[in-house]
Amino acid sequence: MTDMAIPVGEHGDSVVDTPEGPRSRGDRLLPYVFAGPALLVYAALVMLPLGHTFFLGFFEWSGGGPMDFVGIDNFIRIFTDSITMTAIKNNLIWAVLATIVPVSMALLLAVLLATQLPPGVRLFFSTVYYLPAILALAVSAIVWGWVYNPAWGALNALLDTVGLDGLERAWLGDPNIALYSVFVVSAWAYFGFCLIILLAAIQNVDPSLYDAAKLDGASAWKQFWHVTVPGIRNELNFVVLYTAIEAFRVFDLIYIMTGGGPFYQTEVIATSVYREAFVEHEVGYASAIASLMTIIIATLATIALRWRERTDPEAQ
Amino acid sequence: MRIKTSLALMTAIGTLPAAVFAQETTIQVWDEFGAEPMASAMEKIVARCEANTPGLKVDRSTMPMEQMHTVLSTAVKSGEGPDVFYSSPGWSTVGPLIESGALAELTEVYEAQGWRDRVQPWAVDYVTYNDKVWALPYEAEIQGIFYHKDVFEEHGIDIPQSYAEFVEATQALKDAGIEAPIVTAARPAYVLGWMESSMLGATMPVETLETVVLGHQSWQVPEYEEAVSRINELNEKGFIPSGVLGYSYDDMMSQFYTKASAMVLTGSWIVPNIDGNFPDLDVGFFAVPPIEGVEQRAPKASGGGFMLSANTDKRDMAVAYMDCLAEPDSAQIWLSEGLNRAPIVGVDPDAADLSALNRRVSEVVNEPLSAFNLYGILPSEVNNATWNGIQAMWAGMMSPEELIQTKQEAWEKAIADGDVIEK
Repeated sequence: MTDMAIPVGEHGDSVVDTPEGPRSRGDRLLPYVFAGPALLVYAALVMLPLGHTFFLGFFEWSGGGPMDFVGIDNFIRIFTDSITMTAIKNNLIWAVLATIVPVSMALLLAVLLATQLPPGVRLFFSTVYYLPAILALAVSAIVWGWVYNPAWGALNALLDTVGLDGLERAWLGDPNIALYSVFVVSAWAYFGFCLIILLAAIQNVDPSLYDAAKLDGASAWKQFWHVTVPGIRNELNFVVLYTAIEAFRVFDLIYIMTGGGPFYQTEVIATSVYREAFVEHEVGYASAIASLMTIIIATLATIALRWRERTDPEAQ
Repeated sequence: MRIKTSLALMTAIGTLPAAVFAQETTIQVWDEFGAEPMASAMEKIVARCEANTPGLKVDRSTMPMEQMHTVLSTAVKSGEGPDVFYSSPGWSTVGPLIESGALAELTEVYEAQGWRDRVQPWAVDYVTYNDKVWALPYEAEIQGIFYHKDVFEEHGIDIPQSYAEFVEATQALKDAGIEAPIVTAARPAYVLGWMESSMLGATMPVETLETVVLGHQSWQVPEYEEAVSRINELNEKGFIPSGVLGYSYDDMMSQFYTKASAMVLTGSWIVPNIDGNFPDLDVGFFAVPPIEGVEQRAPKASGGGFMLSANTDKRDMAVAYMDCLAEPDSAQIWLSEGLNRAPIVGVDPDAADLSALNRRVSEVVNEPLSAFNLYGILPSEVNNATWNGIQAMWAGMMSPEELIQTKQEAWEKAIADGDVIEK
C-alpha cells in the first residue's frame, strides 16, 4: 500500500484522479470496450455451455425426450454411486501421481542436463525427451497398448527374455495394476514437456547465486534446494498446476487403453461422464458429474494461483 | 427444317428417363459398411435403388457402429442427423432412441409396403417392441464357436454334441499343449455379452428366458446360475487366456487367426472377413452345445437394421429407399457380393458363391429354433452391469452369486424406471 494522498474532484465530474493520474470517464471505460468482444466470445463459448451443463444436472434426461426435474438428486447420487466414487478416487490417485512423478523426473533430468552436459549434448537429450510430448495421446495409447499386449506385447516378451517370466501379466487387464499401467504412459507423455520448461528455467537462474553459495560452502543439495528451487519457483508452480489440471481432464488414454475396465477399476471422472452420457444414456447425471469435475478443476486452479500470489517474493 | 428439328427434339425428350423430370431428392444415409466386401456391395445396391427410384439420390456416410451410437441421438434431435441410418436394432440401442424421440415407428410402413411378407417373421419379431416395429432388419446373425477344423482333426476331436463333450474336447486341446483353447475378450465389455447369450442358450430353455424377460421375473433362477457357473468354469479351468481381461476384440481375433487358440466365441459377422482376408483358413462353426435337458439353439439376432429418423423431412423418399433395400434383388447382392445375410424372403443362398463356412452359418441362421441375444432384449444398464460383473468375477473380485445379485439389482431398477420391454 502507498500512503500517498489521492486528490479528489479537482478536475470536475468528467475526470477522476487515480494513483496513475487524472483520467476521464471515457478513459476508464476504454479497457472494458477493448475486453468486451473477447468477454462476449468467452461467455458464449465457455460460460454458457458450463452453465447449461450445470443446469442439466438438475434433470433426469436421456439426451432426448422429456426432461424431469429432480432437484439435487443427481448431485447426491454422485456420492452414493460406488462406480462414480471409484472414478473420483482413481482420479485423485492419478492427480497426486501426475503432479509428483513426471515433475520429479523432469526436475531431476533438467538439473542433470543443465549442470552436467555441454550445450550440444543437452540439446540432443532434451529433444529426445521431448519427443513423446509431440505425439497425440491417442497414438501413444495405441503404441503402449501394443507394448502391454498380454499375448505378444514387448513388455512381457522382454521379461520372458531376461528370465523374469514370473512378472509377466495382463498389464491392462489386472484390476490391481491397470490404472498404474496407463499412468506410466501419461507420465511418459508429459515429462518431456515439464523437462523443457524446467530446463529453460534452470538455465535462467543467475550463475552468480551458485558462485556465492559455493563460497559459503553450500553442498550440491543445498545449492539445489536454496538456489535452484527458489529460482524456478514460478515455472515449477506452472508445471505442477498444469499436470494437476490435465490429470482431472484425462480421458483419451484411459478410453483407448482400457475403456475404464476391468470392472470400472480404471474409470476416472471424464470416462465416467462419457459412459453415463453416451452408454447409459443418463445425460442429467453425467452433467452433474461433469459439473463436479469443473468445480474441482476451478478450485484447484484458484488455490494454486492464490498460493502463488501470496508466496511470490516480487509481490510482497 | 424447323419442323424436323422440333420433332427430333421431342423424340429425344421422350426417350429420356423419367428420373430427369422427377425432382431429385437427396437423402442422407449413415451406415457402417466402409470395409470390403460390404462397401462395394452396398454401393451397388445404392446404385440399383437410385436407378429404380425416380428422383432418389443417396448420400452415404460410413462410420463404426459404436461411433454412430454416440452421436446418433444428439444428431437426430438437433436436425443434423441422417434421414436413414443403420444401427443395431437391439433393445439396448433402440430403447434409448425411442425414448429420446429420435426414431420413427415403422408399423404402418410395414403394412403399407407389404414388408411383413418380405421380411422373415423372426426378424420382424426381433425389431418389434411393445407391438410397434422400429427397423428394417438387414443382418441375420448367430453367435457361437468358430473353430479351426484342421486343429480339431489333428487332435482327433469331433464337434461336441453336449456341453460335457465340449468341456472334454477343450480339456483335450489344453492337454495337447494349446494353452488357451478358447479365446474371448473383455474389452469392450459387450464382447462378454456374446458369451453370456451363448451360455444361456446352452443352459436355459427359451421359454424360461421369455418368462424372465417379458414377465419381468427374477434372474436368481437355477438355469441362470448354471450359465454363470459355466462362464466362471471357463476361467477356472484355464480354457481362456490368463490375461483375457486385457484382450481387445482385435487381440482376440488375431489369437484365433494365428491358431494360438483353436476356438473363438463370437458371431457370424466375422465370416465376410474370414472369407475375404483369410481364405486359407479352414474354419467351422458350432453353437455352444447344451447341457442335458436343454434343446440345441444358437443365439440368433438381427445384428443390424435400417431405421428411419423421426426428424426427417424426406420421409417418402427415405421409405422408398428402404423399400428398395427390402427387395430380394437387393438382398441377393448383399449376400452374393457383400457375403452378408439380410433376412429378406426370396434370397437364394445357392445362387451365391458362398464358402463352406458361410453356407454352414446360413444353415444355422435358417434353423427354426434359436436362443436369445441378450443385447437385443435387455436394457443397456442391465447388460453393462452383467458384463462388467463377468470381468469382476474372472478377476476374483466378485463371486458368481454376487454377479447374479448385481444383475438382479440392475434389472429391478430398469423395471422400476420403465426401461424394459413390456411384452
